[in-house]
Amino acid sequence: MGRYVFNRLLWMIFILIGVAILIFTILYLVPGDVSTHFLGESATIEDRAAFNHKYGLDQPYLAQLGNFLYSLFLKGDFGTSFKYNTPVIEELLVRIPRTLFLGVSCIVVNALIGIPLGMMAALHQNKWQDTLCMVLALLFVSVPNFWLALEMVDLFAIRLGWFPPFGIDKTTSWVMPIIAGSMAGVAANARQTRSSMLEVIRADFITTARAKGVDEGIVVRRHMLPNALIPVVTGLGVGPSKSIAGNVVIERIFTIPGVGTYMLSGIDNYDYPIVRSSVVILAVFSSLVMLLVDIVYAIIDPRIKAQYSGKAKGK
Amino acid sequence: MGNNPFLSVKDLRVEYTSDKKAIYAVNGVSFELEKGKSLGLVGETGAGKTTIAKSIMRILQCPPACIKSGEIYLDGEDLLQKSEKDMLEIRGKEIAMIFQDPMSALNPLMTVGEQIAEVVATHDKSLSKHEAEQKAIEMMEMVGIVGSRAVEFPFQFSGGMKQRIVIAIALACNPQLLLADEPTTALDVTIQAQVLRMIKDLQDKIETSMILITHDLGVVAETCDTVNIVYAGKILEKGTVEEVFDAPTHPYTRGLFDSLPKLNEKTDRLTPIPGMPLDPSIKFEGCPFAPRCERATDRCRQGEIHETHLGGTHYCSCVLCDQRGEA
Repeated sequence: MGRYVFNRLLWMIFILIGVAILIFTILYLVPGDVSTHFLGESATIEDRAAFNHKYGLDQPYLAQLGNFLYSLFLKGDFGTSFKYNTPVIEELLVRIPRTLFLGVSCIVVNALIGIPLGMMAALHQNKWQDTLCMVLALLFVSVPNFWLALEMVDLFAIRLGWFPPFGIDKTTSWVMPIIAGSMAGVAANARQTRSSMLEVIRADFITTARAKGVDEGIVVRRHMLPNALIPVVTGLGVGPSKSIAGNVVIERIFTIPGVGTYMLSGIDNYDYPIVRSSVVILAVFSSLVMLLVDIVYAIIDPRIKAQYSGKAKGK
Repeated sequence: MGNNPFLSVKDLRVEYTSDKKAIYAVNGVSFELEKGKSLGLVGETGAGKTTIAKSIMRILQCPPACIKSGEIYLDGEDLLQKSEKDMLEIRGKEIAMIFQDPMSALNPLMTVGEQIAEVVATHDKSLSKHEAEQKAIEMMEMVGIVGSRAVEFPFQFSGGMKQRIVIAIALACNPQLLLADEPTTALDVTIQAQVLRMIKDLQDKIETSMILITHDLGVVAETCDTVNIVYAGKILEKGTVEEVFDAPTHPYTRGLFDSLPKLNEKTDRLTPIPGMPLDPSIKFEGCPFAPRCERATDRCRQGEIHETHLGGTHYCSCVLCDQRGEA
């Protein structure tokens, strides 16, 4: 198991290098002149050349890429913002916890609402509870999160005044972003839980459990749920990378100063170091979450654990 | 048959509903089983054998499978009148079941020891967790698996081993009635004999009555005292193994025997029973086997066919023997 985690961490380095190369190349190919953006149309050719030279933008592609990778991975230097002229890492360190908090909260809400909803639907298959849960799920998954966010601001912040419309000044500020950011995930989880529960409900080992005279509540908790949760964990695993990276829109709407808004400001301003670093940081989060999910897998499923340890014995 | 048999099933009817259409799975089945004896339920796939067994345990999920009518007496008490709470006490303790497919009958996420201990702990609350585990290990040794493997998971066992675990679960509480649903069908031929012998030995050891569900007449001959031939949810012929095997009377039973290869005759081709089993969604009148029966007459397709007593405990539901009986 430890060896497996080590291997995965090793792989993560290569994945991150890949991500770094990719984002660097994409930004390199983006049309538009950085120096013009920062110095204005009226800047002289000399001024532009000086700007480009200062940030190494006059060097050929491979040299720039090499420099970027070298400073990022070997020196841990995330670069300096073109616009603010401050080290990107300082800003990131302040913003990362906010983005993580939002992302993790969304995952928790997803699991806490989505899984019970799906279970209820499956246990009452084809009855009104099932229909209700699935209609709710369909509704959540169909509503775009930015629209939901705006409607929520309109209703709860402006009309009712329950929550602040933006910012992170109060604890209650987080309520609307978390709800808006998790609805689509709740729906996906509910549907996944329902379908995998239905599969398990009909499994032979459930009949075996019932034939033992075990109380139905225990059958559900001990036999159905753990088996049904395996595919759900996969869903939850894809969710986080989406929640953490994908909450950019939510951060923007609620003006949460997280990694997402930072990245967007970087895109708006041709501030390449900001964009690159944010993307790499989001990739780190995603990879770590995926690893975490795979470890959770091994904890629930002894078959996978055996695969990881490469031994036939389970314990 | 005795006046007060250990298990007595009377006019059991079970229907499945699929897409609002009724599937008539069991259509008025009655049989009895003496204490300590073995009964073989023989029939084709879909004849309703498993449904009969699950009805006795009351583990059919309604919907889709609902017991429409009938009485099932175990030791003089009607199981169908019992509350679900009372049934929890009976399942696993008084009646236990061995399932057809050992590959899927065990929970993949629990150790086999836990799964055996679960049934022990469920029915004897006074046991500590450790004592239940101890009992599980004992049971594993009894079915011929080293006790130290109790901490392993089902995927670490072969099919035959898994079936032994399933048997250990079924026998853990010394049930009075064992329902063995094709316990060897999913197994290798080499393992089949082993598992059957083991069930038989264990059955003798704890004096359990058994219903063995199978489509293999050979297995019945070796293991059972009495046999019921089931077709389309009805019992067409029943009696002791000797009675039925020596003088198969119902045309369907004869067909079954004809479709077996015989060691003492040289045959190029076996004689199959022509046609297909009845569509269970159609409510039939008369004999369910009539459409496939060479000797069927108009009389077979009308009204109820009565059981004819052929002597001893041998009964047959066929117009032909009915006439013979009357004559």
